[in-house]
Amino acid sequence: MNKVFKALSDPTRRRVLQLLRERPLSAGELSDHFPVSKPTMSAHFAVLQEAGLIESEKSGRTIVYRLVMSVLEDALLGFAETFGWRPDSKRTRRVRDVKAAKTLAKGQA
Amino acid sequence: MVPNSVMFRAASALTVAGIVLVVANWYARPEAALAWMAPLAMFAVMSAALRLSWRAPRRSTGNATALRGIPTAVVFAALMMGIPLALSLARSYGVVDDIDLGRRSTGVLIGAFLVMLGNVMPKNLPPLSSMRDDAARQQAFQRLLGWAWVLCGLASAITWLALSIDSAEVATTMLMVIAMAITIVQLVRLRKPRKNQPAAGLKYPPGV
Repeated sequence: MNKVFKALSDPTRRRVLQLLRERPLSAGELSDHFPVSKPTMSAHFAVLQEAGLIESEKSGRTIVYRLVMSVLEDALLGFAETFGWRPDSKRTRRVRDVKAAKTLAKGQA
Repeated sequence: MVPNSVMFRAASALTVAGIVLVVANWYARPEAALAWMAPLAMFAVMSAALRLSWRAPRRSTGNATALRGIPTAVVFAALMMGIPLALSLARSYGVVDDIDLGRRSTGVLIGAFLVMLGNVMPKNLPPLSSMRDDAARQQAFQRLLGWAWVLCGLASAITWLALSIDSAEVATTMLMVIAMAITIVQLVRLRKPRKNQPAAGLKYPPGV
């Protein structure tokens, strides 16, 4: 269960699960939704797979991911979405802005 | 390899406890000997199934997933039979007066079993490449089914705890009928091809 909580703690991974709720998607399709490098996305996929929330299947040169969440895990994801980090929330934007400002200040110093 | 050994030990212990309870009940009320033979036979069948599930993986690992379910099923079955037997024994010795307690506890247990069953439904999808219909619909179908049975089980357990026996029986039956109707309707919808169904043989979603 620790692995599940760890997997659900990250907003990118939660977004991946949200996307996979619609339909199974290839690694490329999933990566297109995020402004991060492919190795980073692969690491996220590995965490989700280790937690048993998604599984992959190879089709030619493509890897297709699909959701294999139990109802309890699905409910936990919904709970995390409702009470946790949300991509478009004001609080998130504020935290992101503060982080960016700090990084900029460090760079200038 | 021994699948789910904790569950196996729990199943074995509960089966033994069940047999002991049947014998104790038989001793307390020997006039109902025929009534005690049925649970005894059931416990014997459970023991045989457990023994099979213990031995089979050593011969073959192909059906390990199916065999892993046997101890869990035996645990629930033993609890469903064991609790009423324990209460019946307690009533024989005048410890418990409530006649409905056994039915209530069995109802709650059945609800809990439905919750467990529904919980793992979305996890037991067939391999993606083997799906005859498009994978998105099948995934949605199994998620809906899982939620339907989990909610049905939860509501059923709460019903048995909160309502009177007669009302609980009616409410549980209605809940089961609703869950089954959802299952059947969705199954029929899944079999019917969609208007923009992907071409035959295309098992993956478009864009893959």
